[in-house]
Amino acid sequence: MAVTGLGMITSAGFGAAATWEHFCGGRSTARADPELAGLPVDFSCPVEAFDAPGLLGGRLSRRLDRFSQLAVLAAREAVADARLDPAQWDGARVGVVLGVSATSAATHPVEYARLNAGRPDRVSPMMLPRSIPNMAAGEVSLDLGALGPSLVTSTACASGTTALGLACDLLRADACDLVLAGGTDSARTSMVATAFDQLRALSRRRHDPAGASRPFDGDRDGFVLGEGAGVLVLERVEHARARGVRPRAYLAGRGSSCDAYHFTKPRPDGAGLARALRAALADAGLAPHEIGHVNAHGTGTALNDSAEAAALHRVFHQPPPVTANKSIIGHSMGAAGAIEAALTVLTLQHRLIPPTANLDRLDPAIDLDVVTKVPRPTDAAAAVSVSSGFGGQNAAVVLTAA
Amino acid sequence: MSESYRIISDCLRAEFEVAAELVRPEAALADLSLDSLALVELSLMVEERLGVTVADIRPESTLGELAALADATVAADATLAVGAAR
Repeated sequence: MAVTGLGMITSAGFGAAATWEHFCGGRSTARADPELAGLPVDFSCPVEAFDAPGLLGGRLSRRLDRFSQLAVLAAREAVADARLDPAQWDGARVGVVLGVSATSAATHPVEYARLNAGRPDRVSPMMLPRSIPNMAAGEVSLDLGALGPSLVTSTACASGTTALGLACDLLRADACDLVLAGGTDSARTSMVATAFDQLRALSRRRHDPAGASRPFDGDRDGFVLGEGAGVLVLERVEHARARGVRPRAYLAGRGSSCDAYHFTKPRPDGAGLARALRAALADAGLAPHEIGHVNAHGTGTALNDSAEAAALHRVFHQPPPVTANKSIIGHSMGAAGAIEAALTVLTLQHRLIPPTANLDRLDPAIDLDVVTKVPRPTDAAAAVSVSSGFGGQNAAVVLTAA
Repeated sequence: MSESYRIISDCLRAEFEVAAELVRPEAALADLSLDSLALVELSLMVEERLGVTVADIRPESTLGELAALADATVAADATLAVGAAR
């Protein structure tokens, strides 16, 4: 499938170009977060404030929870980037598939507070339409006039990658000519931060937020909460050619699997993730040695990074250069896989692997060639982006250069 | 114009993007492209900003009528509060 458009709203930048530019600089975006003040973990990677009423209109910006605002803005960017005009397309042939994991950053706390104060009459009628996870896709479809399948995938931290796989299947089945595929989430709430901290999944590096997200480093102590949205426009190669649009890259294969090992911990030997990755390679018709770069899940938790390294060693004789985008924008949950795939597209296009921040001393138990500090030139013609989530759910996509 | 009218018209312009020239005392809510869901939202918003519950916001009410109803409710509430203080 051709990737003909990208849209990204991340803590690294508003838009795909701004995000890419920040990534090449290699600095983490983690900082103190007023939303989390007073909590054991009081920092995150927030998207910079943006003028939602100005960009979306007052009525729409008020109707949409933040995770849907981010999705609509990223989708609009991706569609414009793909040189598509929603006023002209055959909407019935356009689908939307977005990964969503956490949802409802803004809506639930406010409405629960009203209910718990004994005022059910003050609960907004928008409580449900704003907060249910499928609204991310529903609102994008409504905003752009996409009349085909409109779906949300939920495989926790793998949701965005799962969405790309499903989008690929819809195009192969000829259910759509175009799919806006990606993910969105905004989970920077006091409850989500507390709950992940109680799971001992978050970094507690309060004295040094910018150094907190350190995938594959020996001193890593958990991930950092992030937020954002990423959307890719996918279409069959012939369809892109007929429109006269040059693809940025190709989505060549997808695979998924489940560890069925533990409800949160990844299988330490990486067998589950390796199975998803092998399936994606087989789907793309590529051998492991033909892959020149791995965009890792790389959360910076002790368990993930070692299991992921094990998975890569299962599939690759010698794993190719790896980078971990979460070192810079934290973990954007359902958006992560989509943003990482979009960054992988840009990696192939610019022939440059953005660095992993904060990797000062590779964990001696991990044998990987991780790109650190500065971008590294690459001639990779094919790359993989992999994701794992709570529930043991794994997903992988293969991307190839145009 | 009363405080209530000012608050209601501010809400309509800022939150519901109703064109300023349509926001007039004699305009009926039904003529401002507000559906039933929007009316519930409007009543909650007015309640939050005025501090009183304005019962019975109906599509056929004009903004002037709605503001008068809100004013009366605010006044009744103040009387009640004074009574309670005694």
